[in-house]
Amino acid sequence: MANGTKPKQLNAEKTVLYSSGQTPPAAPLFFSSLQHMLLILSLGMAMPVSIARAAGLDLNLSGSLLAAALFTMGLTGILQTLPNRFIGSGFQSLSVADSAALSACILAAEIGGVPLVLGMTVFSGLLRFLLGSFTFKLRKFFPAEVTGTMIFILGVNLVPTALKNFLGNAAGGVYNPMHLVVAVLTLLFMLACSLFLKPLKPYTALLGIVFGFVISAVTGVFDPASLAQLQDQAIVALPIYADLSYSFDLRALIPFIVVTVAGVVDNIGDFSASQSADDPHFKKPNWKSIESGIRGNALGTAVSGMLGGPIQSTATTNIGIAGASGITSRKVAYLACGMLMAASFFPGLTNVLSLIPTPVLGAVLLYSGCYIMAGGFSALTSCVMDDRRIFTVFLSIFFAISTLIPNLYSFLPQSVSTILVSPMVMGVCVLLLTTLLSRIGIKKVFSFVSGVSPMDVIALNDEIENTCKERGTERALMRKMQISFDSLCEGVYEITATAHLQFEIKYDNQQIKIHVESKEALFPENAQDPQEECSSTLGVSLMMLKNMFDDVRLRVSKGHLIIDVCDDL
Amino acid sequence: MTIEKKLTGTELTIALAGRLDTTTAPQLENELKASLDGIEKLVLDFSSLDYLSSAGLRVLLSAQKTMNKQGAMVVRNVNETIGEIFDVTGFCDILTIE
Repeated sequence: MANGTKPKQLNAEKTVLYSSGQTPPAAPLFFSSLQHMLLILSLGMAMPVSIARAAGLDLNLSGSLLAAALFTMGLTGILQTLPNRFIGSGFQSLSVADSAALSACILAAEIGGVPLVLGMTVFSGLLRFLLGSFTFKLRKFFPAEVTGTMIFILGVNLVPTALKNFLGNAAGGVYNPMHLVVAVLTLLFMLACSLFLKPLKPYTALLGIVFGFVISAVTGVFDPASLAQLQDQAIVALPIYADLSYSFDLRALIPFIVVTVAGVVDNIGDFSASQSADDPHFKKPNWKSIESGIRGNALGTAVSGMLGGPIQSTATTNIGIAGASGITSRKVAYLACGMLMAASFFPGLTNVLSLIPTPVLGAVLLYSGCYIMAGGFSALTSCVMDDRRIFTVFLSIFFAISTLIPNLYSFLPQSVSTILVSPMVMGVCVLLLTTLLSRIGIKKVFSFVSGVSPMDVIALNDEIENTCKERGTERALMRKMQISFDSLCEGVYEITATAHLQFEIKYDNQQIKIHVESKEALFPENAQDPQEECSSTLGVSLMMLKNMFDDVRLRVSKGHLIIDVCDDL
Repeated sequence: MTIEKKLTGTELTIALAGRLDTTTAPQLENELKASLDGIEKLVLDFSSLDYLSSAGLRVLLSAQKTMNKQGAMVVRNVNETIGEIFDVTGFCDILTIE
């Protein structure tokens, strides 16, 4: 191959076997739904189990909390999937307990018990409903480096809980080395599933829990006789938390606001992914659908809080499975959610899960925490890391981690430290402050003139690259500008080889605006539409511009070509 | 830019090597004008093509229009740079790329 580069697979059509509006035959419908249901079970139960432990609930109350979690995950999945103008994205979008919200929920459980967790969950749902209706405008205030850092810090926030469970001293008391043995073996098993048994990777958490139970029984960490207490349970029961009440506390406000904003950002990505999975020719997301989907998720979260369930999140892994299998039918989501809701009426299942041994839970939390942090990293790597971004991102991570050092902030009044001294709150406060400060002195307008000869185009590409580096513009946008301006120069070169183009590139927080004007007249003085007047190479380049940017306006004024381009950052 | 042609019945394969830009696009354009009569399938092999500009895209577009009337046209073995240009400009929806 030329340059040693590989041929790229283009037009490799994604195969959608059964799209969102279609109904698969019975067998694929059932098995696809069962797979999704088991995934949700695998991914979604660690969080409510952890909340139950943090709140010190007994077996009955734990079981009812888990039953409510199962029921509300099913309900929210249906709400998110509905093809309604106001509620629901119209695409297959299941729901799972939001593990990134775990640290906020544990804080709430420690401050005010389950009533505070439920009250703040309802609050989170209502806030998400409000934010969800303005998603398109608001997302521009949360660029990739901010959301990536927030998500990473959410993972850091899990460290104390995960490691205390992992090391077996979550409840204090005498250290038991068998706890560590169980935790390590469970974690190794889950890693092995992820790395060496790829088909089983989506079920790793569930398999890890089963493995952990077995190892715990063998080592004596878990006493199988404790399962006998399940015999006294009712076979069928309403899946609502048995001791419903709600409270609100300002000390939990900031963590839940952070979790809600991060959740909305997560929803945007997931609903976009579900649209992409359903459409082989997907180009840009449908924002109305995303906003309706977020409102569905928000309503589900609010109802979840009222019934005793957890904060809900879109199930990213399930969207991936749907895309890979080509079965993106809404009916699959409805059936899978129905299965979850039906299972929630049988307390035997949820009560077994509430007996998960502590070190096993720690291993599952560690495993999940790694993926949360990886999600944050992934968003960060999409950014060009200029000096401003480096300080914005890593100063906030520094301060987030600093809150884990005992007594570092003992100089602060108790009322302040209770709120401020947590990785999430401290990290996000520093993040928002440094983001604002980094805007000082940043150049907004770049102007330059370029010739249109092939040699001039090389210098033009360098100028564009320098401009983009100074602003930390994403590489994809930089390449769009280079390709489109190259072709524009080439088109003008065929008309007048000695022509010059004046470029003005203007940034604001939300958009890039590019104004290009020919210094010399390229067309007859009375010409109106450049696409009627120009040679066909210029015609192709103007067509490329229109394909590549959101808003392109072309005109001729006294023979001069004038182009105005506007694109979202 | 070098052009290699191979004719098998009514299928014509043209392999390009080098750059397809303002200076070389007329060369390909002339070659296609002279060769497309009676051709039912045109295969453009880009395995040795380094770069493609809008002048080259104009020639491809013109060839696609001609072959739409008499058969089919396929572009093969695009490298990453050219693939990116096709993706970003939307030409991947206009041309058949394998």
